[in-house]
Amino acid sequence: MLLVLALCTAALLVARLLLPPARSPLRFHWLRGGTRGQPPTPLIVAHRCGRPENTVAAAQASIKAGAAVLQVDAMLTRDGCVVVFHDVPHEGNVRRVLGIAGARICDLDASQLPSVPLLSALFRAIGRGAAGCVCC
Amino acid sequence: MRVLLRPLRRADSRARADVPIILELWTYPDESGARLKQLVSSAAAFVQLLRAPGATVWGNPFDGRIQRRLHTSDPSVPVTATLSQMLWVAALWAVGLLPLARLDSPALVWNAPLPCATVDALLAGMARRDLRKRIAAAGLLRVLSNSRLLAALRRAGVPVVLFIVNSADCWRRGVAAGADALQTDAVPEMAALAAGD
Repeated sequence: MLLVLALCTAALLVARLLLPPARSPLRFHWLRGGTRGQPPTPLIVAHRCGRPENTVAAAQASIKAGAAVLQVDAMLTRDGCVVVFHDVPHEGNVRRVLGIAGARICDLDASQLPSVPLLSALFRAIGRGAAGCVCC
Repeated sequence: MRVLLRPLRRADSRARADVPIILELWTYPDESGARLKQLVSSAAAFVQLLRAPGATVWGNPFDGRIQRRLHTSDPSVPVTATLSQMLWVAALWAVGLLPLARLDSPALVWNAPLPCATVDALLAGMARRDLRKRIAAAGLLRVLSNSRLLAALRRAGVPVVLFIVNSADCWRRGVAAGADALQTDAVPEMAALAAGD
């Protein structure tokens, strides 16, 4: 019995260490509004910006169609630009989506990926752009 | 939530600027820590530059290093729970200790897969050669999207996001599970369903 209690306490302590601490509750109102009381109709999140995935056109179309939130994937190119793309080893999206065989995003420069939007370009396209931002 | 959702339906330029973002950062398993750090700091700089910290959630379910760095870069930006965090929470819930855990945190979002056609296909692709892995993952999915667990999380103030809902049947299951938000590839179709609810 004591052993079980000790194990549970240890699990609780570890969980507390692993979970991030609570801060700034007001910053998260857009997703937390319906978390108590009656469940509302869920917000629609455009997964990978919608279709075609992770493109500016998809992000704009999704917002127009009623998406309340955009889910965007970001990766780093060889030359250090943040691009909107999703690739994990088992998916092989560089070949499937871009038609480039045997390469990964981290092996390519942004200039070699003309159809892949920069994160800054996507932000600008959805009205979040900062004037004069030339960073990639 | 409703306050924000209403203007978004008008889709004007002001509303577009308000659209919240779940920003998931990805690296390859063999990429160096320095590149991971560069990705995190670049993305965090964008979010700060564009004054969007209040409308952003960081994510990466499989890489605790990314989540830790993101959380360190700005603790006020919420993060989606990693798989290991979700397993701990599910274990605590299973033994009845969830109410004692510090879950009422605006820094945490439960972003879990909903067992549905799209996720099942992804799962099959991930563990194509290993049947045991597939069975284990399928069981895990059912636990992470268990409606009683989700209800407990929502009672604790943790927002619940489920993915990937691409059909009417999945949408209804997501709604029945009590999700705060549902991720979909088919926004127009799901918006039509939501309008009909």
